[in-house]
Amino acid sequence: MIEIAPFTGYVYPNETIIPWSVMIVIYPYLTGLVAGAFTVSSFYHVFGMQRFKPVARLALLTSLSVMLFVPTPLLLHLGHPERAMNSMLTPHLTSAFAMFGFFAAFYTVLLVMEVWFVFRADNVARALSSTGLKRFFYRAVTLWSDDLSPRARAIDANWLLTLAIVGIPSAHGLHGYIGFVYGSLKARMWWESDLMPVIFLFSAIVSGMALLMVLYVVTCRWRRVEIDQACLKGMMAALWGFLMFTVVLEGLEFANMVYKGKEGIDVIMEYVKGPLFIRYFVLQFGLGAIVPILTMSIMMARGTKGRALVIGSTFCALLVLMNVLLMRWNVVIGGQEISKTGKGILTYVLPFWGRESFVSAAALTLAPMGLLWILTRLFPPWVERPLAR
Amino acid sequence: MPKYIVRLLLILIAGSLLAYAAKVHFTDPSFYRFGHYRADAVTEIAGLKPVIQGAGQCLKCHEKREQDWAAGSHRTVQCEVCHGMGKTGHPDDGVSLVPKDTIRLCTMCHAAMPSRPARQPQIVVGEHPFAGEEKSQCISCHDPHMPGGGEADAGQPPTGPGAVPAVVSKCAKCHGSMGEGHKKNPALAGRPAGELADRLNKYRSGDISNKIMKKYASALSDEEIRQLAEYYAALPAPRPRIDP
Amino acid sequence: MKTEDNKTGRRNFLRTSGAALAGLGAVVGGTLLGEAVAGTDKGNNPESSSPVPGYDWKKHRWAYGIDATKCIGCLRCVKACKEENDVARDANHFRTWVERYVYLEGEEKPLVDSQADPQNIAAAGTEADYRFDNRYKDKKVTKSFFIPKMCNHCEHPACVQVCPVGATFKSEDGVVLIDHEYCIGCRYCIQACPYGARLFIEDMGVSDKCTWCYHRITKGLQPACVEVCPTHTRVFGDLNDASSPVSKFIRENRVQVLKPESGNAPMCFYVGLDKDVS
Repeated sequence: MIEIAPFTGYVYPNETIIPWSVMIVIYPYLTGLVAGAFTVSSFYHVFGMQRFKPVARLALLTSLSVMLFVPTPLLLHLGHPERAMNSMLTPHLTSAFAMFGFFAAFYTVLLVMEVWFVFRADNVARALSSTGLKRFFYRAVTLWSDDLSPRARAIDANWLLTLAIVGIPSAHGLHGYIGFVYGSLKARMWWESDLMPVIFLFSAIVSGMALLMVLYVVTCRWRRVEIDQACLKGMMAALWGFLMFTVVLEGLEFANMVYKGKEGIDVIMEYVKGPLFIRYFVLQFGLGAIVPILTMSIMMARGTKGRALVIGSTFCALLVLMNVLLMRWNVVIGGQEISKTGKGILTYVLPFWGRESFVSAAALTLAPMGLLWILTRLFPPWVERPLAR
Repeated sequence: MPKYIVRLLLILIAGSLLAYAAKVHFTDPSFYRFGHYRADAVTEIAGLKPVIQGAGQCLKCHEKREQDWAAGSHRTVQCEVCHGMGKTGHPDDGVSLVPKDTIRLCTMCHAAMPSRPARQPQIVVGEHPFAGEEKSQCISCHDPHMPGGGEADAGQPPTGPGAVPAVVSKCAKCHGSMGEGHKKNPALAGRPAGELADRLNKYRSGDISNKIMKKYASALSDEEIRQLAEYYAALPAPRPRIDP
Repeated sequence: MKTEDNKTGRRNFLRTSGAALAGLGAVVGGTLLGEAVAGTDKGNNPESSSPVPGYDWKKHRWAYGIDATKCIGCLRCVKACKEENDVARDANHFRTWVERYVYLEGEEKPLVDSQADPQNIAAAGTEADYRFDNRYKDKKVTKSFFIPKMCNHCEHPACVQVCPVGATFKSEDGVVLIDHEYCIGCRYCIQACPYGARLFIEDMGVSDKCTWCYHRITKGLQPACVEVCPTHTRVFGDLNDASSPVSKFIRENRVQVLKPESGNAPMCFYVGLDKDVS
């Protein structure tokens, strides 16, 4: 079922089928969560900020769960998913897309290794204290080694630090190249901007932080464990800071475009004031950025703590998650709704069912949480009940 | 080095080697030959069979078209434009390629539109002579293979008085670029000048009743009638007309 | 002891099967590596310097000319292209198309439509054959014209640059082609083209576009659109041949290209562009 986009004005005949669908909105959203979650974990694992310890391992598992789903929206979108490996067999190095396979493979291996090292001691302890299939599983995971000597632990710590440090540019490259793809596309004025990779990256970090905040609060509630206020406050402060910077960058990008007023600006302004107005100014910018910033500012100024802090920060985090999803939508879909003719505007029709539809997008956004649940059962990241001694 | 580190490194190395070997095995052999693409792709694309045949192919069987279509102003209109573009089954499939709705076909190019360049012959269908009359198609008056008409076909006669009357294009529309006549419209070429002038006068005065010719003749001055008569008299008489 | 025997037994089993797997892996890996070391087969006609038999692509440099002052908007080119290249017979997939620009009295901006416009499709009565409707016949039109469009086969094609796998490329004779057997259908090239020349074939899962009828020009024929154009609007030929129609076209006219600021250096040269043509 091919969706034909209705349009006003004049558009090129081939533009009435919008090439990049909701799957290409979900994909940077997911890689953004991957990069953002990894950044949160690196606050502890690289920068040694102790207050983030309660979420550090959870953040790694989150990054891994989402990462394993990252290729799925792409595979659902490709005309020939069975040929996807062509980009690794014969990568065309002039293309930013060719980098995906290598970034993704490298980062996945790195992340698996980092998770492996982080949980190795716990897994060894589990292996030693279980029987049967469970024992076999943990023995296999620990590569049949039970070495927990001080020397081994020191080596583990070294590997962990190295991986965590290398992981930062790796995760950011994995997500940042997407921003580069949009920012470097001269054919679409809505996308073409030097700031695009940075905007994508910072909104990614913000989305990861917001997700971890929500996950931390939810998992603490489920496990009936007290929420570490310092950790939550730390994440909220980081979210606040990064979110403001993201808003500044996005504002700058838009302001630049309007100020320069190059050919094509007329239809862009018509689009922004028309179909995009609510999605962009009211929801993304207003509800998704200004409201959380103000709320968090008030909470920080008044020293809010306890239950009010938990509710307030969770509320802000959810708004931010909506903000980032909308930002991806407004960039990807928005860019394609503005015709290359500079004389027309199209409307993307989101199908409810199908390969690239509301249902598949929702499934892909929620499925990583299911995988995360499984991973937290296999490799509990909680610090409140340490297993290894 | 602890055993688990060794095993970890072995897994990584084995994986890398396997990946490299897979790359070599699965890469298409003709890739990189001329550039970053499969050289065989060029061969495959170039090997596709053409569909549009062009007039040369049609003229092999329809030789007589050489004499009318190939010499007239529609010689830039390929056969397949009007006769079944892409109908590669012809002639074996026995399907006739003669278009039925010529009004729809001809107005594709000749319907008057503000966007069309002025030099393109254009008509407003509703105002065109006989349009809307029963069973009236364009080909009732116009020979599609040799439409005549238009400045392009107000051609230079091989012999003649030299000066071509300016109004001749109006006559040529129906009587052919060389006065050879079309279907119901009689030939003018080679007829005695006196006879032609006489008839034109009689059309103008209404002595011979003919709605179309009255319209055209009434627009002519005496001098123009004289010029036209001499012009057409000097043209070579037409050969017998060709039927498809 | 039983547990000890079980343990030893299991250990032996694991050891043996592990060794067997490693051995198998070594054999497979060794074979593949051996292939790599031995060098690869170069595919068909490894010795030939031209991939098309009987045609030397190094001798030609194809280019295209469009004299938009002559276009009558009959759309025979669009129909011929669809028949020749089996393009989807609907209103959303075109390798070439024609745009109509109309300035009404008192208006500075033109009204633009193409044969794909729903009103024109309705006038044509079908999505498989095309004609412009006559919606301006009773309006005061001060200026109006047609502009045919297609892939410009640029010298620095943005589409080729962004293809992640090498499925689209510029041939030695100057034609930008798409390898339908290799394309993965990511549609990055469709985004990158500033001219909207590229389309996606959903049934085949690959990108597509005008090929200047490569399968015809390598046999000495004209592209289908050039063949059927009744007014000499479309001109094609070899820039290496000074007497070819396109060489003369470029020499004898002031020619322009679409969106020169894109940096793509198109090879379709226009006479008769206008200020509002985008």
